[in-house]
Amino acid sequence: MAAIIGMSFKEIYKKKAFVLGAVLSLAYLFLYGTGLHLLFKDMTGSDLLSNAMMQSQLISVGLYFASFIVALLVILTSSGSISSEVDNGIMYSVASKPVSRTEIVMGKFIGIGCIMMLYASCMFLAVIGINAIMGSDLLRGIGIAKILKGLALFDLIPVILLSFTILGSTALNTIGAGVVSIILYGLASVGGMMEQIGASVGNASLVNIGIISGLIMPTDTIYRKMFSSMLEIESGLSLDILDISPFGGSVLEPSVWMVLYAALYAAAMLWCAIRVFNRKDI
Amino acid sequence: MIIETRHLTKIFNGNGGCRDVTLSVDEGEVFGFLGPNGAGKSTLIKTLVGLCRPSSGEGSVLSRPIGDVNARRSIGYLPELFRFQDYLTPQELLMFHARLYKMDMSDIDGRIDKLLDLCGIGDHKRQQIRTFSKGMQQRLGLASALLPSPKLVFLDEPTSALDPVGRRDVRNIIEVLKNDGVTVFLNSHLLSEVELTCDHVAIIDNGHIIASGSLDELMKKNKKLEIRLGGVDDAALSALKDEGRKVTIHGGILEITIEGESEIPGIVRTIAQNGGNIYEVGTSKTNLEDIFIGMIDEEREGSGSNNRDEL
Repeated sequence: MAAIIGMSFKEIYKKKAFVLGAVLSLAYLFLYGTGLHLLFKDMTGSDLLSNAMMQSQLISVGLYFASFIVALLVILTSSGSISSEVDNGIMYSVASKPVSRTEIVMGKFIGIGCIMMLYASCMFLAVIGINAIMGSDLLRGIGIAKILKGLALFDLIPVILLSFTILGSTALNTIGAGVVSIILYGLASVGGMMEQIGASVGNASLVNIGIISGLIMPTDTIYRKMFSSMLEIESGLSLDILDISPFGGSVLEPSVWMVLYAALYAAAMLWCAIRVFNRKDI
Repeated sequence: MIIETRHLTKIFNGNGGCRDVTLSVDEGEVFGFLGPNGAGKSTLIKTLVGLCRPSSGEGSVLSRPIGDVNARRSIGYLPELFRFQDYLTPQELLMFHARLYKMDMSDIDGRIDKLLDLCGIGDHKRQQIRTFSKGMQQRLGLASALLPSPKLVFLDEPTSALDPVGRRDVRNIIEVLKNDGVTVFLNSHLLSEVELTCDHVAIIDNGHIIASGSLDELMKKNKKLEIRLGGVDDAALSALKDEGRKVTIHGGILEITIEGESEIPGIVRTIAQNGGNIYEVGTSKTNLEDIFIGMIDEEREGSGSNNRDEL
């Protein structure tokens, strides 16, 4: 399996999509940092509540779009991880070797997953770092432990998406796997926003739609859990209630069971991918 | 037996593939697997190397069930559609394949260099594969198939992208493998090459094996009788066809496919009894191509549908 993992590292590194993604990520962080610099310069008022609300929203916007970029990169790099190699014939020379199909799927998952978690960590820490440098008062009260907890949950998002996209790549062609993953990721994001709106206006139907979309693709649920856990000041009370934007605030905070569900979801998707690939004629 | 299949069938959604294939390949043999496009040759190879799951039937490769992962340590495979990670160099690719084979890496550099030289691309070992011609990529695929010092090598159209020099090189490599006792399963359209290199052959059409046996027997049993007549006599021709013989006429010469010399007196008698004047009788050597085309035509005309020979 180590050979497949190593080749996955090399493949991602050689792919132009990843290099382009990294360059655009730097551009995004530069733009975000510039925006923050200009906003913090004007944030001199003594209205602590409005400052805290603004700072909370700035972090959520930064992390939300960082998570979006990570998700796109995960889908771009993994939608063809199995299918394109089957289609173009590379898989003939790999799957005919003394290596099981399980090792191939697991090797791809671990290889791409490690790179994507590293990339997601860099994006997360860069956004938090930029806010800290700009003097975010909100972050001062959070502490390293909560930031690391937030980072762990943030890194779970690409893992969930990767497991689903690899399943798509074993069952569908590259475009099909990519399109389905993007649609479901979008569905989860919209569903998450609807759930928060539903909770704030007391509309149970909207909340239920959000819960169902979170079960189908739990990326947004984990994102909201990450945000509320990071800004938690004491058990059950989180500063994310200050965030009235659709990008972070959780009127209805996901339970810890949803984190367990998301981890099981990723494991189940991976198990399905292995089963499908084991039965596939190449 | 290195390869043994019993009623092995692989079909895709009820179509194509290979059906009810029963064959055996002995150790050290060069086995030619022939058939027209879409006959099911590559499907059988892909099933034997574990890329496709059999629909029914069973078989073994290197005394292990089809698809056994450990058996693949001693199997080399050059696919018909050869594509590799084109951002790698040949050296990097073979290193990757050596890791997949879980080979001893202590002298892997030396083995890779030797194989790249043997396959004629030693001077390009640090060049990215994406700059390679199809022929060079096929040579690289051959080097990969030989990498684990295999006991059994599957070569699926190994010369399809090669020029005459490359084809000769592949023939020489097969000869070396044969001398080393390696079993070679060769799938090729180039019948002249199969004739030069193979000990045994099997012919497949529409997914079914229509003939199999040693090449010598096949050639002996498919002689061509040539008879010069004093004008083509319709009665004699009809009588021969009534006997179920395959008769063709080329420039006033009657050509009849026979399976042995013992048939000649009977044929001459039939012609003479039907008023034909025989001036000359002789036999000519048939080549594999004639035999192959004859069998395929016969199969497709339907006359061979109930005649799945074991030669």
